[in-house]
Amino acid sequence: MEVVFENVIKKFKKSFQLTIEDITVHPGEIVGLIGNNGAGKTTLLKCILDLLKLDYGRIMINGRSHAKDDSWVLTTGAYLDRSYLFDFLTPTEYLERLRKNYRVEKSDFQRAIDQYDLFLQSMNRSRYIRDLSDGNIQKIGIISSLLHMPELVILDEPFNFLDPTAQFQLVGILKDYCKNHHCTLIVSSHNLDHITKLATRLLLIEDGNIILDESNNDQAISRVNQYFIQPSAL
Amino acid sequence: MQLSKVISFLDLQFLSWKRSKFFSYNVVDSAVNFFILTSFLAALTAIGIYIAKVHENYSVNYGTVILYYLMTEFSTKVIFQRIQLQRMLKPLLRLGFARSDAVNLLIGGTLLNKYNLMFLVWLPLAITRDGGDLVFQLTGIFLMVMSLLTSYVAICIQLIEWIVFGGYFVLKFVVLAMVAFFWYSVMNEEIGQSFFSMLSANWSFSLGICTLLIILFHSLSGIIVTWRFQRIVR
Repeated sequence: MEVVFENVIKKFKKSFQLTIEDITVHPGEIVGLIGNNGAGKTTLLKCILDLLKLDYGRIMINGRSHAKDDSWVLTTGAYLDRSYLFDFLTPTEYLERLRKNYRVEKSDFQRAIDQYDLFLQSMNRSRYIRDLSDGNIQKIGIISSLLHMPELVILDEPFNFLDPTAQFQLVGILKDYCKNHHCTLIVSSHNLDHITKLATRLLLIEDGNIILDESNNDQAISRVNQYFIQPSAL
Repeated sequence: MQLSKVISFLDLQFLSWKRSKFFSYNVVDSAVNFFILTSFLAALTAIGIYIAKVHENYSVNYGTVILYYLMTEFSTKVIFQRIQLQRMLKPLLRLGFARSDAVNLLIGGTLLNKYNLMFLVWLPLAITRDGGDLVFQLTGIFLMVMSLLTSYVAICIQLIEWIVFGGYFVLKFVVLAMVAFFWYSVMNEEIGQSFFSMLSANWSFSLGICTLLIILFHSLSGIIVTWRFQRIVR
């Protein structure tokens, strides 16, 4: 799915302003959104998901304004934080509801879950989500955003709370998913190691502005690293 | 809106209540617990009115009723907007509900929770009439059905689209004035006597008055919730 930002501005009372001029995320692209705390990464993701009303400009998903036509919802998967889950359900119940609401065939859904068995293996799926560890909640949130085969996936800090093994598994899972489904993935992270392995394009955000937008290559990685060592260097 | 979505939502509401921990945040966002809580308050108010009526201390009653009314309104604002509506929206969107459906269901669900408001009118009335006769009991049942129906209608007609900002203030004062007059007439010996004799003489009129008040209360609460909810969801 194609995501186009057209002069997007989102203002907050505390003098923070997100400003995204003309940027196009092409189908099949994996965009790594990086930046320090408070730079505006999550705000940007919320704007894409129409959870925040824009003050100016618009975001087009597949050629349609996402605020006016929400047909994109059915082909989008997202996980920003645990408030996206119903904590009084078990993972099994939650996934089953997801399947029913997205009208996915049982066999297809089960096949999709089976793919992620290794990733989910440490989880007791009969406990309520609220009783799971942070890592397992993160896992169920991420996997649930992939199970209905979305064409656009948006993840906020997906590597948080995961153990190192799961982090490496997740890089592989997301790469494979995007490759197999020609999916557009927009993912934010503080983990430069993983994000540079995963992304095909890097967006560096600072104080609500995109200050670097480059294809993922050695030069871009070097500039990003340099920025985090000395933010004024870029 | 698809019926399956409505059923799915109601089922989630029920599970939320069933699996809640007592006096945790889940308690207050469950329909049944809130019903019990406000019914309890209403019953206390009604008893207070009855006792005060016996002691002919009408000025105290008047204040109690207004206080209860304000408490109900306050709880509507604080509890439902902040906890239930905001907390439930993101998971519903994640579960594949369209934004408009999710918003309407949440508002409808909130109104559904508020059918206990009928006690504000009906229960004190029943008590002051020595427990009420068969017609009065039937009126109670009718009111219950009516309030449920109005809640369902509120879901279907997409309340959010036709409630405007200005209507909130106008109706708020109209309803407050009506409540004040209604209770003044009940508390005042002469007017109250004539009022009750009028109600007794014509049970269909009594039914109509109560129903009208209930619908007004529902409209009022719907307006408050809708207006406030629209401001916080995005």
